[in-house]
Amino acid sequence: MANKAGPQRPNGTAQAKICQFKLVLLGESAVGKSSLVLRFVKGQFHEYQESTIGAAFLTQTVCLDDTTVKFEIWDTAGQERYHSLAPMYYRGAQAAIVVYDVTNQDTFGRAKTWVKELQRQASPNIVIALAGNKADLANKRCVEYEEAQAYAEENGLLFMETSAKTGTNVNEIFLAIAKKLPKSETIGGSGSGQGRRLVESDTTAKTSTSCCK
Amino acid sequence: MYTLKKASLRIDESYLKCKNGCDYYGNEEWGGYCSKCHWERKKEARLEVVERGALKEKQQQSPLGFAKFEEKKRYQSDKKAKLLKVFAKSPNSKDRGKPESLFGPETGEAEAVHAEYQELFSKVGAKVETDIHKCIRSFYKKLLSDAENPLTSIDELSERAQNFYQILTARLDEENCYRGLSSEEKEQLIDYAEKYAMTCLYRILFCPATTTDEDKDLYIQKRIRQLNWVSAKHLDCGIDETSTEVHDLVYSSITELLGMDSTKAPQDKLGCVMRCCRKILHLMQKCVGGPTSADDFLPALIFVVLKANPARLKSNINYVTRFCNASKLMSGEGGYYFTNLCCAVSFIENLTYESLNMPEDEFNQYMSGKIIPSGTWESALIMCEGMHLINENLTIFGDLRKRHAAIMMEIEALKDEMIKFQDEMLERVSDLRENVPLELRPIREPMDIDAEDPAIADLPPPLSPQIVEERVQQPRPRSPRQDSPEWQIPSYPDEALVTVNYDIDLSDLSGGEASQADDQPMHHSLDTGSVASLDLFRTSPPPLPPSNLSLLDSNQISPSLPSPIKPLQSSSSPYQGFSSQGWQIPSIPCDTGTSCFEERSQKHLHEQGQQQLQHQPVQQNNVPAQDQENSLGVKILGNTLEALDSLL
Repeated sequence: MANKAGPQRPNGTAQAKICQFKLVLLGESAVGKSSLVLRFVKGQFHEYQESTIGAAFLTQTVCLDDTTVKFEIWDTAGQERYHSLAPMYYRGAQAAIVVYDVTNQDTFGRAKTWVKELQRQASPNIVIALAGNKADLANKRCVEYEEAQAYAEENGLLFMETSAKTGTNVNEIFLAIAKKLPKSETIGGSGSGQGRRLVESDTTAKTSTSCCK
Repeated sequence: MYTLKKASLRIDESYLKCKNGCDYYGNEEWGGYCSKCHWERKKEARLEVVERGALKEKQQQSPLGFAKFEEKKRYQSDKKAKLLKVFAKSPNSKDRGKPESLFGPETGEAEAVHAEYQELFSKVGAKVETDIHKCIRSFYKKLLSDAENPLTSIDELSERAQNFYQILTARLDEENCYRGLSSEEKEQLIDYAEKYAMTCLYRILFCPATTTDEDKDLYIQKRIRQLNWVSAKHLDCGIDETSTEVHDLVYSSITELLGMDSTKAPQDKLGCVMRCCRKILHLMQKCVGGPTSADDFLPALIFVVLKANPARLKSNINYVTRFCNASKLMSGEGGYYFTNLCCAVSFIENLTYESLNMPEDEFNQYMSGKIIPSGTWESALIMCEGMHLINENLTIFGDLRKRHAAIMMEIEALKDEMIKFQDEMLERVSDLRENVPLELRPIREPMDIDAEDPAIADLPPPLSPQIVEERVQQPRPRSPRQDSPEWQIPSYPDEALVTVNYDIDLSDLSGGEASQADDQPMHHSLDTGSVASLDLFRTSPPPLPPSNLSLLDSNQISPSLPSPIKPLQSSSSPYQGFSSQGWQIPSIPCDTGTSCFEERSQKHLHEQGQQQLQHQPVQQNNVPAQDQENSLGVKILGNTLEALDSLL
């Protein structure tokens, strides 16, 4: 019964579990959210490809040892004026990457508020990762690695300094999230029972009714 | 600049918190309360409604008790809906066999949905189809009866629908008849169930009278109308307002968004949103010059919503949120775009001077319509329209100028030619005048005719046939007198031998009837002879004498043809009786047949002939001569035919 769903997926390997996760990108505009995703999904940076019309919604599949993790990446508008709309985006998300720009102290401050908001409003077991982007611009650095590392540890976040331009740590941060995400347990009462379609453990997932719908 | 931004940056924490003062965050949808407080309040309100309903029943005689008109309206429409439901439901009990007939007025649309998924059902089989229809039917009935109860809130109905989707999903995994289906097919089945049920229930579930959806629709519509001055710049949106390509994309995305109201199933509405958003992504890619990020996308979507001002926007959004399969709204591309649309609407609802980064008084002036910014979308549109027209006209003018130049060149060439022609003609005329000076001679034309006559008189050559005449007895005296035209007439049977043959045969055979025999050839010769002679006159008079001669030659042989006839008699001596009889027997029916025809047509022919004669008085003189000659020719031909028959 548990393995029934696996082979039925046309693109899945015989015994692989397929998990789909919703991942939200948060962060001030111009910190490189979409560049980060484009690097992760398409492996490109600044190379203009006609086929890529949008980086707002993208999907990418990552293979861990015995599971296939499918990320559904929701980009959010970073402008301050749209900040209040963010809860609509991270509702039902299983993972979030809060991005800041290492060359801009303000964006780090904003990142902190995002983290705080996520911890308070998003589903309790959401996996939050902090990404200090533009790590290749070392000479312009304003946010020290140690500072961010300490903050991340304090709040239980995954943390990496990334560079969408060079590709440093881009795949790594997504892989780390994939590893940290719960892949077999039932989903907690976050009201997002239907949001995460675990093809694998669907029967158990469906029985858990959300309490505060 | 940044400080200004900063000022607008944070919404006060207390604004986000629940109004009740519990430490949870509130939600705009729930009137600023957190979910728990909201539900409690709702429960209270419902109890109140129940109490009021009881009161209402007591004082049913006085419907004037309704203070608010809207409430009254809602009550009335409720009643109407119930009545409608009664009518819609009545046929159910009668023919339960057909699942389609269950759904009353929506039968046609439901069938269309069914037809859309025909391919799927042909793949999964009839068993699955009946089972899924059973599920849909039971859900439909349950929801309908729930909806009839005025105490059931729309949220409860929504919950029922969501439960139905979940139960159905579970059923698809557990039931035996669904085993072996791929997950794609299962998903399609769930889609079908949703679409089918919602198409049928649309009338009850869309913008129900128990909710304030309609008021919200009107509010947002008014609000968007008030905000018509907002330009792309205000929203930090990089739409290039002057490019026609971008314009077209904006228009098409607006059209897609407007189309949302005309569909019924939640998925279809979601599809409209998706198409709209894809177009926006496309147009932003054109404006930005790279893949569109959410930073560009959301402002553009807000802009499009502001410019589109879709009908019943809030109702549509609420309907989709309530009755679309929640798993679709929380994830997937459609879910993402729909979330963006909700965000855009929410942004428009809560839009303040801060969110547009402008001073408060300016914002207020814009909102009250006191000032209108110059760079609005409309003015840009008007400008562009003008530019577009100018460009179009310029190209047309360019084309016209080219053609005009070409025409002018041709005119010049023609003028030159005309002048040249005139000069040339003048030159020629003057040359001719010089070479051939004009001489005036006295008119001598009658003299000329007279002069020609003696020349004709010296015409012995036509007399040469006289030599031939010696052998033929009868035409001898006449032929010399006759001119060449008359001579052609005997020649005619030679040329049109095939057609004439029969007539000649008849004349020969019915030799006893002299009058007929005489008349017939005469008419015939007149009929055809005249035509032939006319033709021959005009076309080829010179070759005629030789043909005449040849005919005469052949005729010459014919009188001396007894020798061929003799061998006929000798060779066919045993058959003589038969041959003579057989020769006559077939001819008799022919004879009688034609004679009948002749008797009838004789007079007619005669008249015709006379008419022709009247028409051609010139030939009248020659008729008797022709007659005789023809009879002779006919006889000769008859002889030759006899000979030919015998030979055959």
